[in-house]
Amino acid sequence: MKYKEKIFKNNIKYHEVTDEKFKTNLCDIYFTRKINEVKTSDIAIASDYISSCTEKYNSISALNSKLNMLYGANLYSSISKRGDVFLMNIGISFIDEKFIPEKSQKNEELNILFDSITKPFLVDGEFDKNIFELKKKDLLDDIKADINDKRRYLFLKSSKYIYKDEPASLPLYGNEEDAKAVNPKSAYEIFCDFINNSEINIFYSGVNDKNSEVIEELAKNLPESKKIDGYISPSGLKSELLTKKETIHTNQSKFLLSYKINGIDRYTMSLLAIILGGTPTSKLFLNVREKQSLCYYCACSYVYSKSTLIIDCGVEKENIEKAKKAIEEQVDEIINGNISDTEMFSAMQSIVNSAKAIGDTVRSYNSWISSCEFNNEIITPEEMLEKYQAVTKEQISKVANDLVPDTFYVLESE
Amino acid sequence: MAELKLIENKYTGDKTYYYKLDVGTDVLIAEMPGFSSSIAYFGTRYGSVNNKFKTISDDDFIEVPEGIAHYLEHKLFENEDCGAFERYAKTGASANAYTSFDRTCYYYKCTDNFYDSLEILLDFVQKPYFTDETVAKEQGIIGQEIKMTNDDPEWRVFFDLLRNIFYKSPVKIDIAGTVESIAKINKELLYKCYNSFYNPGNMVLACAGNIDHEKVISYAEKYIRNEKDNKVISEFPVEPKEIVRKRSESIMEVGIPIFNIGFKCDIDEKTRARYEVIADIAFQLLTDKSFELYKDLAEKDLINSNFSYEFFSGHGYFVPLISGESIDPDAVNEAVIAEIKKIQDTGVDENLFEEIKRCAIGSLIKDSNIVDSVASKLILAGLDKRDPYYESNYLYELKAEDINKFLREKIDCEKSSLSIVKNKRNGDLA
Repeated sequence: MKYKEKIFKNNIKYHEVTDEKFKTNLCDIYFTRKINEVKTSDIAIASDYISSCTEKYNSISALNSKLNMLYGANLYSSISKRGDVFLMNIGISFIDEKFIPEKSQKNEELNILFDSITKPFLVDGEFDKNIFELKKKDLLDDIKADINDKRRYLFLKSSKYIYKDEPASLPLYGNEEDAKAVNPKSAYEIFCDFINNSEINIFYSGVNDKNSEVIEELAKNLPESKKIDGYISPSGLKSELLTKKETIHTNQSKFLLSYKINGIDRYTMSLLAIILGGTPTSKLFLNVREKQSLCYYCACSYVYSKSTLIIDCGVEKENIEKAKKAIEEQVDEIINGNISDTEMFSAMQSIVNSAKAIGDTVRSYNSWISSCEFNNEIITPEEMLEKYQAVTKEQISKVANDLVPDTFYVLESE
Repeated sequence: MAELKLIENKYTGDKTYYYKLDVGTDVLIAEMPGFSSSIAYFGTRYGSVNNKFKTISDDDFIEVPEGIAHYLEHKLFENEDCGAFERYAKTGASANAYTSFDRTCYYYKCTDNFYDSLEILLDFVQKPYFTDETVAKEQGIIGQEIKMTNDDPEWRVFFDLLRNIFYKSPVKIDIAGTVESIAKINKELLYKCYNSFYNPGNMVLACAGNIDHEKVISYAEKYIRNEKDNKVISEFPVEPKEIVRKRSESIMEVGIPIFNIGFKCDIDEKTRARYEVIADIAFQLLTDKSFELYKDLAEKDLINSNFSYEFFSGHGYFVPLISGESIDPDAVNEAVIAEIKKIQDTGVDENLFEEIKRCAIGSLIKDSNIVDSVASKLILAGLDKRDPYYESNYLYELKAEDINKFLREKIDCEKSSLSIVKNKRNGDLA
């Protein structure tokens, strides 16, 4: 494996990992900006639009056809939040030419990727109306379909309260009214403004470095990258637990319990989350599920970028309070220092497993490096493991003691 | 003495070692040097459809409650001394299991201590331990799992489709059963099912990653118990060729209505593998964004980007299906049927076929580079007693005429059904 980092002339940071065992290549271009400066519905539709057609392949079927012929090259877009930052990612994954003997033209996939951003399909200076309307419909349908996955719905609804009055509380895609108001002209103008005022990073993982120069050349057509901050924005503490309840027509109730802490302690908090509810030997799994049979899942995760601990659970309606109490008891166990050697070892092994698996796929390399970049800490997985290994049980108990109950959001079945 | 075979994918150069133990267990291993992870699956040919069976020592067939295969999977992780997860916690492996219609698989993934974890896997799966107390405890947990899946509209629309299509086949039964059916499960029944289906001759070990095939085989030889083949057979009701109903609707909390359009196909078991590859290409073509059907429906606002396909098949069932979201699923259904009938007359476009074939080949190449995908494909091929590279073997040789023949001879639009899940607020569609 070889890693290389370079800053292009337009201040774009380029990260490259190559590994001969791969058969595919992956190139991700991230544009990031502070959430409250972004019209998210416009960007959601624009990003979907530009990954569906280009100036050269000026219809969905034309681009799709081309990608099919490139052995299923996959051009995609995604939007996400991290801390108080909004991220738009346009990427492409494709089979390396080593495995396609009859490939006629070099670098077609990378050209398509960069063209999607710099040469979108326009009609009279704006997005094509027909394709635009299809993408707008996709977004409106996605917003309506938020309720389909109940667990995901719980996270979406509760975010508004967990990060109350913070940029992170804003819905990722905007709401239905915002989405309906977007038009081909506004979306294109907002898209141009967005990419011209974003921080831009390129992450490439692949078989070898033969594509480096091509990427550097193509990247010249991208705007100048601006530096932004806000990737790590601890969420404000509340003075008391905020409780919200919503009724939903389901068989099973669900709830989410969040905690916050002053400051950031990434490694200690991550270990706390795993010991509490990150594995089948965690406290929540063994006690709330196995011993008390209250649930099928009761999981815990740590949102590092917002310094927020989240526990979620699916239970029978009449057991909501019982399950909440059972969870709180397990948090108390940790505060009281009741962390066994086995629990500590198991949590560490879970991290070791994940860390050592980085590099088994091009996707895992890009995820790792991009995460490092946005955390402003480029380290190897081995260096990360050392930091985890330095954490003690006492430190974990201490941060557990500093946890402040934040939000209790319930989706109660009708 | 069994012979070790090396099976090579003549198109991609990938290799799999195959070895059959004297006790009958099939062992498949793909060495992937340079990767950090390794995965092992230990699976049995037993799933939710096997609810009526007998072994060589039974006088008659016995029928068991729905959901028992899944219940058994949950309980197998517990042991008299130490649960499987506690043991894996010491080796660092991340473990899980799943039950499907015709198989149950136990697996783990790790970056260290692969062989210690392999010993755990082979041990706990072969050491059932059920008591009245532990069986009773699981009722609440699986009850919540059932309720969770019952709240999933995608699950509901799919099982509604199965109930539209199948009269008697147990494939229409929910894999986890119902809260009522699992209440009938006791330790005696669990032992009966275990002893019938978890026989070495009915099981497969499949491993992929940074491993050595000889060492894996030596562990299999050492830890897989010596047990005579009990010749378990399942009885399945005779399923009529017709479908039950052409359409169904269910009400749930969803955004816009979701739908499945499924086709009941009559496929001989001997040719099922080949038809799976053909059906995959045929339905990928039908739902592709380059194809007229997608363009036409999208322009009419009848579908969105979630318009897709899948198929599922097993011994005695073969159902390709098209899925999506629409404000008017009936109109989509009508258009899909019309298009299939048209292609049955005219045949598929050769250029589009070539595109889809290339795309599928690309997917195979990508998957062959991912440890999880390689291991998953190995266990599935092993349980179905197929060449591990059957997909490549059929795909690379596929012609447009194969698709045309499949659509003409195996897809009968009279045996299709539409299932819809919608929100009560959707009310009258259109």
